[in-house]
Amino acid sequence: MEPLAVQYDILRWIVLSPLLGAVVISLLGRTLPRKLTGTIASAAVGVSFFIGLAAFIKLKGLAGHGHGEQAAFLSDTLYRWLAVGGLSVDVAFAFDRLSAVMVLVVAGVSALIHIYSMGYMAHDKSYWRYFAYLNLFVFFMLVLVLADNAVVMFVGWEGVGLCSYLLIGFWFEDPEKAYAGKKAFIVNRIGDFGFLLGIILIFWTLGTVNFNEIAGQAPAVLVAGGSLATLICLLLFLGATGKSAQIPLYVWLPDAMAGPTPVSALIHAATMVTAGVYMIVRLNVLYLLAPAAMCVVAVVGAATAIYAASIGLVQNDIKKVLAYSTVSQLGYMFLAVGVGAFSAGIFHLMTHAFFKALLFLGSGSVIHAMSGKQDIREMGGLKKKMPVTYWTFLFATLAIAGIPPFAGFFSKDEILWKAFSSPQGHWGLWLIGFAAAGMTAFYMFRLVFLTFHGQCRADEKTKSHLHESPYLMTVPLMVLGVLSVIGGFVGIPEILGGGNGFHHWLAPLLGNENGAVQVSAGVQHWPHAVEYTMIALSVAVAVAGIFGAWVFYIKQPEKPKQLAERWPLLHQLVYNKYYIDEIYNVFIVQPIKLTSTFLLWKIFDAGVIDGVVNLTGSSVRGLGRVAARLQNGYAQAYAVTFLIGVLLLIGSFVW
Amino acid sequence: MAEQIFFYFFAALSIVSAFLAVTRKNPVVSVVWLISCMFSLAVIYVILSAFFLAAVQVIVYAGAILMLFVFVIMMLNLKTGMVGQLRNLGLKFVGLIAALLILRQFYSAIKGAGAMTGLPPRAAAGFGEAAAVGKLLYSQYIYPLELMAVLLLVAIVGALVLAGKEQS
Amino acid sequence: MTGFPSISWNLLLPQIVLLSTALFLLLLAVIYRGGGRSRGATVAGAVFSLLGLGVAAFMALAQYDTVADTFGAMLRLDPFSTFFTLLIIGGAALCVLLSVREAGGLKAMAGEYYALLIFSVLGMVVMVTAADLLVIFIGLETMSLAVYILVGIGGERENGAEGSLKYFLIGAFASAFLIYGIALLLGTTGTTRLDGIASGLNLAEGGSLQLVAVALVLIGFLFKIAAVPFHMWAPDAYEGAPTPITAFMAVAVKASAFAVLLRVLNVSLLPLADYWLPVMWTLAVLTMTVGNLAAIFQGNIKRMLAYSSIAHAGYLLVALASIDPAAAGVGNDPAMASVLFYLTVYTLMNVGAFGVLIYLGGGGRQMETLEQIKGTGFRYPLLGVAMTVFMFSLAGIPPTGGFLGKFYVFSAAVNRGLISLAIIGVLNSAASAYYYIRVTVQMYMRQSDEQLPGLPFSLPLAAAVLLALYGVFQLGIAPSDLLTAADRAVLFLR
Repeated sequence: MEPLAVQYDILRWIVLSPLLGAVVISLLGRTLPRKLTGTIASAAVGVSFFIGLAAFIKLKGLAGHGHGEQAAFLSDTLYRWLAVGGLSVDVAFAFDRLSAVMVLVVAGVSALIHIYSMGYMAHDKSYWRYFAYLNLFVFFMLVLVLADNAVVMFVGWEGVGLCSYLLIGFWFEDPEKAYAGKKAFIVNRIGDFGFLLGIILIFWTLGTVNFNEIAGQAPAVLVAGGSLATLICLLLFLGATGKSAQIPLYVWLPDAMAGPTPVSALIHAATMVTAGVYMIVRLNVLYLLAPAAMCVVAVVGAATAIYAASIGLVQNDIKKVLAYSTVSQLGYMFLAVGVGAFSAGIFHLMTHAFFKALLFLGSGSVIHAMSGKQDIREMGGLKKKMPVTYWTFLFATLAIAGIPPFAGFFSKDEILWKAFSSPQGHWGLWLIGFAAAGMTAFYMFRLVFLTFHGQCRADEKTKSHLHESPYLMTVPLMVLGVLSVIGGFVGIPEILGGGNGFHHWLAPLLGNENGAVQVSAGVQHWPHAVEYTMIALSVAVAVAGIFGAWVFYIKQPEKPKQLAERWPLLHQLVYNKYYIDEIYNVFIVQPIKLTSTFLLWKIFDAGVIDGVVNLTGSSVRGLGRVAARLQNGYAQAYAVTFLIGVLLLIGSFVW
Repeated sequence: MAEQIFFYFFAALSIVSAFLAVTRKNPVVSVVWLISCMFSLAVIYVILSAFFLAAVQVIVYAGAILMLFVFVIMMLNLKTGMVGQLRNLGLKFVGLIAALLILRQFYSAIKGAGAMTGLPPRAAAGFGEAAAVGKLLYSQYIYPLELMAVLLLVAIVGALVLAGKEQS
Repeated sequence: MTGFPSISWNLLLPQIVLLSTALFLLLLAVIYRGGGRSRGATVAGAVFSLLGLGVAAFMALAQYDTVADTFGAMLRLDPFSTFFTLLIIGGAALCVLLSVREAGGLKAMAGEYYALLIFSVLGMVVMVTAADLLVIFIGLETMSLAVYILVGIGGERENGAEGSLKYFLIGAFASAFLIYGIALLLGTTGTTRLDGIASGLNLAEGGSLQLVAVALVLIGFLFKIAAVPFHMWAPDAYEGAPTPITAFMAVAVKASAFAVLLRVLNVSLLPLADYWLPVMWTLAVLTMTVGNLAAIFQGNIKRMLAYSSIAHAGYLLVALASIDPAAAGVGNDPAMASVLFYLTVYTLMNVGAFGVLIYLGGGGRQMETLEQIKGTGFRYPLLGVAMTVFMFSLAGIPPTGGFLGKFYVFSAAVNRGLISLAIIGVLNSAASAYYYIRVTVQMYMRQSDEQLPGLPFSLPLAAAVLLALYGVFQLGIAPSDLLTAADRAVLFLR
């Protein structure tokens, strides 16, 4: 049964409002007072949030009992974008249960980060440019989540990448930051190429790029488990690994921390990097047809989760720790969607947006107070100077560590449980996730202890400047703090007496729950005791991680050093992020450069040597000069190449 | 029979002349061989009963254009060896091989086409005389003819521009 | 024997206007006696060129829906030819705008410069309107001769003469192949008329000569679009030419050659589709790959854009390789319409990029290499933004027209089941982002070594850049009008 579509004209303003903000700011930003610029930008995103809220209420009102009503969505078509050769694409937005969650999270967190930025960026010389980019980013992000077809989604997808590139390189003067921006852009292009090919293949096989039509036709057209479905899903997943920083394309995200901290919070934690997860859930029908691809997703997710967590254990830059933590948490989300627990993936996406945004904003507050220093070895004892930052940071840390009843506990626990119990799951996947959870608790509390507890190790000058951040920054922290505490309550599992409302809310959109697709044979039912045990284990490992961090960094601070000395190689290996950047450089970047330099530069481009000949040639005047130019040999080389071309072309016609 | 002998003789002469024209080091000698090549082609046109074309060939190419060449060479006082020589032997060799292979392609293609029946009929009476050509040029081919005028104008303007540039 | 052909003069009006404009411009040097290089002559030349192009475009627009043969079917006027006439005139008009500042610095008189430009436009219009290979050839030669001269016209440029000479020599080489091919086709099919050739093709009897002839004719056109391996001249000619002429070559010459290719392939050579489709496939892959890989290593932006233009020819060849000879109607085959769309977008973004380069060079400081444009993005913010947009469009990033162009071309390929070709194309386009993005990185993220001078305002340049900017966004966000026009235009090819 086709889902019910309800026209809802104001939907477009969710998207257009930040665009308008960006346009106004870029036109008038130079002349407007700073406060006003920030207010316009924040208000523009606020408007999106409230329209999103209105749409959410309307959507809720539509929910009846039939499938069509439950999967109902609000739609708003702007115009027909292109129509050629059987392909027609509208610029259209669809607000269904999934995009509702995404819009509220994106617009809500964005609005808070905008407000925070008004304080954080108050003294930056390119204040207006920053807000213009930020608004533009929100525009593209909302296009991405509201798009009703893959091509419009791709526009948003590329747009957010573009803005992230602009914002990473925001402090342009620093070449290292410019390099980070370029790296992010190029790595993302590799992923985007996969995504684009995936879209093209979808269009080729299904004749449509509209999400609803894809969901409707895929099960009938594609063979479940067939190679075509698998290929499409793997290509799409390649796109997801680029945008969501998964192995092997995660390398750009830690470098992306070169951008301003609120940008890291918004783009590289809460919103853009989760686009890959969102995309897979959006196309879950396709993935359910390709169990092999789902397996790849789950394995890559689990591997990324533990790999990035292990790097996070030893980093000393506060933002780098959070960056690797983000990569690791994204790995959890992919683990979830890979085992078919789509709603758990989105659930973790949401709670992660709250607590990770909070962690980044908190770290921004710390960096702000530390006069720009980011090395946690120089911090310590900040608890007393910055109480609000400390307490909110602690809440977020408890949430990410998975301590009940904080938000992260419910989502992470559901992922771990599904990784174990789902038909696509495996105890091995669970074990990796479980171990990574312990590491997460450890490195996050290491961060907390080193930053906020103990003695302050900063120099005197920095010490004298230590202060709590202004209200514009602390209020968003508090709001996010509250969300990090209560955000998980929407998805309390049934076994703990909740209704798992979040899961039921998304269920109508997820292929396997409505019976449209059923790849997995018989769903196994587990006794309650197993589930209780699992919950207890995941809490226990989190507590163990916290305890370990306490022992290492509070009780016996000399311990970590001893360990590093005992296993210097291992420490070096992990500290240097397994030398992946270097390996990429040696095995991928350099060979490409060398090949191209030697083969192409020498054979196909005569410019350099040519220039030398010109220099000698220019001393001869008149016809002599012409003759000299002819004699440099290149004209003849061109003619001979041409002749070979003629030979081959005739050959391809005659033989 | 005589026609065939004539054809083969002048065809061979044109090829030899062309070859010598491109290989001689002295530009004046090259031009002389080029004149010989043009003349041989004119004879072949006559054999094909394209009399007007033959006359034009002699007057325009052998007459006007090549005389111009000789003048230019004399005025610029170009000496032996000033015309570019291809020094890169490897390139020369590759070029030669490619040219020979292309020749081979042409040969087999033309040989294969010998059996074609759908070829245009043999020339009608009066074909190739000035009157017939003129009639065609000024009726059916009036548009390309006029266009050629534009093309020649562009060539003149271009020559002037380049000459002017060289002066200043 | 046929009599004098019937002539519909009004169908020729655009060509007549162009010819009169060119002739009038030649007289400009006389009008400005002794001052053919003066500023007044330069401006007057540009104004009259624009006027002529405008009137010609208006005439062409007025007969947009006309479908007619004239001059005994030497010319065929239909929406396809008119589409390209308008595209070429539009591209040329933008290049005239780009020329106003540059033309003053040339050794040639302003009048001659513009006259040659208009002459080559006339040649192109003839090419796209022609229905006979002979006419196509003469049009092509008129265009080429004028462009050879324009490439070498640059004042102080040492490499201008060299680029021009190489272009000319290799061009003459290519023309020889083309005319030989035409002659062989005439010999074996009895006609040079495009539609006559299709019915004259007879592969059963000694057709290999016909195939050789077809190959030779295609070589002539492939040379003009700089398809690998017939591309070697392009970087030298592009780099050596005055920048407005580089833009002109990149857009107008390429557009007219593609128009001719489309028409010849569809009207004359459709029965041979099995032969040329795989050839186009191979050429597309070669051209894209060589163009992109070579572009990565260029320090000179003009040379980089030359290789980029080779790569774009490759993308367009992807569309030619995706033509469906058996499509029930051309309307069901997006391949050809995508060529028209792509060329339009390509014209705009290239003219824009070259326009920014010329504008940057206005401060008396050469701005052609990546080194030289360091830090210009901050010094000249609007130019920086414009260049960024053009580079993103060339790289195919939404929401610019460049993205839609590529999307069309690749979906046309997928539509025909050429998945591997589409994959190679998308990979290439991903790789190309690297060198396009480097331009913006240089502009924004590097400091200039010296103080950058202020740039004098130039109305024509600003107008050209803004028009291109508008067009690139317009075609990315609301392309439907152009698409409809392109769809309709290709209907007249079969």
